[in-house]
Amino acid sequence: MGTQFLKARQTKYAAYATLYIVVIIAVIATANVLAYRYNKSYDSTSNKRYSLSDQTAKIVKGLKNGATITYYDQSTHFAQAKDQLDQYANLSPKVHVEYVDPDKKPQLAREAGIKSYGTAIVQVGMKKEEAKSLNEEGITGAFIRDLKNTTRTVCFVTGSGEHQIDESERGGYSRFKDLLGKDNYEAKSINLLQKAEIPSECTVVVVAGPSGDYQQPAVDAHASSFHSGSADLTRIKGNAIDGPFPTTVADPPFSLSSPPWR
Amino acid sequence: MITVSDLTKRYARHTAVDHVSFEVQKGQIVGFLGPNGAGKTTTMRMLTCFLPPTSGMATVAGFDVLEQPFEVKKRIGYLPEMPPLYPEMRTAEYLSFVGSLKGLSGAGLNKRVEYVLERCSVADVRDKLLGKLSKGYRQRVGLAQAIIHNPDVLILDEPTSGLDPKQINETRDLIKSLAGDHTIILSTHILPEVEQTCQYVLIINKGRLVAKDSVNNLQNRARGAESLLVEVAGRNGEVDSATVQRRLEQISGVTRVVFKEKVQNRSAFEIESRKDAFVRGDLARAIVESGWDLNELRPTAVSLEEIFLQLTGEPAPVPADEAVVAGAN
Amino acid sequence: MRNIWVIFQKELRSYFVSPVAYLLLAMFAIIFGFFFWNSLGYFVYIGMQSQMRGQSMPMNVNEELIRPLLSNISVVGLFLIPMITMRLFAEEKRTGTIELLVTSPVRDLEVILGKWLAAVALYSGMLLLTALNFAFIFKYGHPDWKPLVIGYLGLLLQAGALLAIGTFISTLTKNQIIAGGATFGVCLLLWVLEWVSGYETSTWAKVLSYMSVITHFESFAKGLLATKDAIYYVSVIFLGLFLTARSMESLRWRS
Repeated sequence: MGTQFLKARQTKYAAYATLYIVVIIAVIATANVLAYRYNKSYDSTSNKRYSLSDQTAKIVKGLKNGATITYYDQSTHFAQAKDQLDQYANLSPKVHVEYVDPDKKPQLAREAGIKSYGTAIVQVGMKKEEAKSLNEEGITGAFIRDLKNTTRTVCFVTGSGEHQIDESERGGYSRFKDLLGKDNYEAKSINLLQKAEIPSECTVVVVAGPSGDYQQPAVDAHASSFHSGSADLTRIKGNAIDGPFPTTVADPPFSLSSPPWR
Repeated sequence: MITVSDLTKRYARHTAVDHVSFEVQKGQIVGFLGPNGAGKTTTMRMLTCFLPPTSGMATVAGFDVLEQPFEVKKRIGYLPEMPPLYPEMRTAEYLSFVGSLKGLSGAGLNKRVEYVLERCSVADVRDKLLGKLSKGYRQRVGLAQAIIHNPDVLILDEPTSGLDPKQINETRDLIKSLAGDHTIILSTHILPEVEQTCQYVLIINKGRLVAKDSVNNLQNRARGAESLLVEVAGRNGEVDSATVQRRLEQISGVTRVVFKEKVQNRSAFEIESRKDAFVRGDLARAIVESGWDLNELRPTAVSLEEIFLQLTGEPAPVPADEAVVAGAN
Repeated sequence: MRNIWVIFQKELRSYFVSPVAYLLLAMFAIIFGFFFWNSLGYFVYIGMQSQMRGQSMPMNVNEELIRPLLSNISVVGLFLIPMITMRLFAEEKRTGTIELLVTSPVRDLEVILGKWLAAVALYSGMLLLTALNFAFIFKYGHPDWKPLVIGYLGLLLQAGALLAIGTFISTLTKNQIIAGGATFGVCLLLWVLEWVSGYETSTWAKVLSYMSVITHFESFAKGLLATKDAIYYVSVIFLGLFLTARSMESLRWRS
């Protein structure tokens, strides 16, 4: 038989309906928040132009703290940058992107030391680095620099007619120095004739085509630092290196993004 | 077949249906009689599961309208006051659509569509747009969609409204022919309609059920308090209305004589008599014996108001223990 | 289940009996055709210009031509979608046929899905017309086809979402015009939300921007199938249809 219904049936229904709606909205909101944080994209473009390289992905996803990319440009240009910068934001919920128009907020721009339109500053934790260019290379490079605790030093041996990183004429490796700088490597020269010791801060030692043989002390210095693992050795093609060097040479532990020399 | 118990529908401002109870047996045709706004449509909407009751209970074919509406809907054919026609569909197309909604399909559906097109006399407009049909045809298509799935129960809300006399008769005949196979409830505010088509009648007023009885009984009760119209003329010369009136008032059983009008030599009176008194014979004799001409003696139509007055004379509505509509007397 | 198909067929047929469907298809085709012709002309012009100047600036058809056109379609859709959904329930309420639906052994959900799917089907027809335009590009060039497919998927999802909202609004009134107007208002609001908060970064701005239907189309336009955007659209579709169901239910409980 039928049950007895109260007059309050109408209000009971209203309450039930409202509750139902609220719950569903909460569920949907949660699902969306989760989807937003753990976003995955399938890039159907043939050259994957909207995806970042694996290297970048590894770096960004491995971020422990939050990172912010701030783009300074006239607001009409925001759209162009958005494509690129959004990809970073999509990789990790820890990455945030902000857009600042220096014309509208000159104060902020000045504080950040912005000198030209179209600059992106990558900040990880307390460290800020300016991206050298507005593409994956530049921005990821800035990330890399931010993340480095120490600067890695590439030591170029001098004293025996090797190519000098201070020389800007033909045969000089000054361009090499610049490029290393972009990748956050510091380049400096060491003169083994003066002091037959490889400084400890050298992560890589480059012997750039000496014209003469190395003296024994220099050789020993190389050998010891090499064997002790404090430095890795790189040969540079071009001029053959003869002489009493250990013939096994370790492969470079890193790859430079663009070999600058021929 | 249909059981309604204490059914109530209350809105914020007023109560549309107030503790209505009745039962309808299988195969009966029951009329739902009442003025506009009495609660007929609301009650029907509750039976068809369109509206939920505020309290009380209703079952159709053993299924509760609130607990098992799906089962109820399968067994009901419903014609609302305004037939639910899609103006942009054609007749046959529409009937086919309704049929599939009700669960028919394939060859069975087609057969039923053809059948109801014939039965309801709408076959000649099968390809016409519903929006272009006349009221008469619309009503018939409405009836067709109600019976298309051969339901156990038909609920028809004012099925003859807006029809001309010929169509009204046809529709009533059609409804009568459907009885027996189907259980029918139809609502109306026209008494003769109930008299012609239904076996039983439920009278509802202001949301309350004030009478449930067989049509016969109702007629008897109504006739008991009928008025008569009498026209008297002078045989030789003028006749004085006041004289006639006084003579008529003397007849036993007459409670009141009202002078209506005098046209030339003829005087018309309305005569009210007691419930149990049959005064026609005495009236006629009295007039003739007085030397007057009896031009006309007829009962005036019993208006719904009068019935109501009679039937709602008692303050209380029909008590709930009269659960079954009384059998024919 | 079968009832969904029954309702779907009836609704779709109804669209094509009145001039509404034809009008919408024609309008959409003409408007988009114009945009397409315009953009293509400009594209070719720029290409020729750079050739004449001797620069071989490789212009990516997908990027320069297809992507903005897809965004165009999504905006044009915003304006036409209210006209599709406004009659879905409002008309039934007005003519009283809703009483037929509610008293038949058909579930509310079947009615809702049938109607919504019919609206989606109609819009798909409109999208197909625009695809004809793109077919030309393929005849004369070699654009990347996959991003285009993803783009259309995004358009479909976006439309589904807006159509679901429109369906819900249609249950709220007997008057088609009001339903259409309100739907248009909501679509407009959802569109504008993205403009307003596009480049701000406060939380409020981000939330508002997230709610805009346009925001989530961006990735599809580029050819990216992003889970967060797909889930957004599916959520809105679900929410719209859910609210429609509640609204239908409440029809019985109100007067």
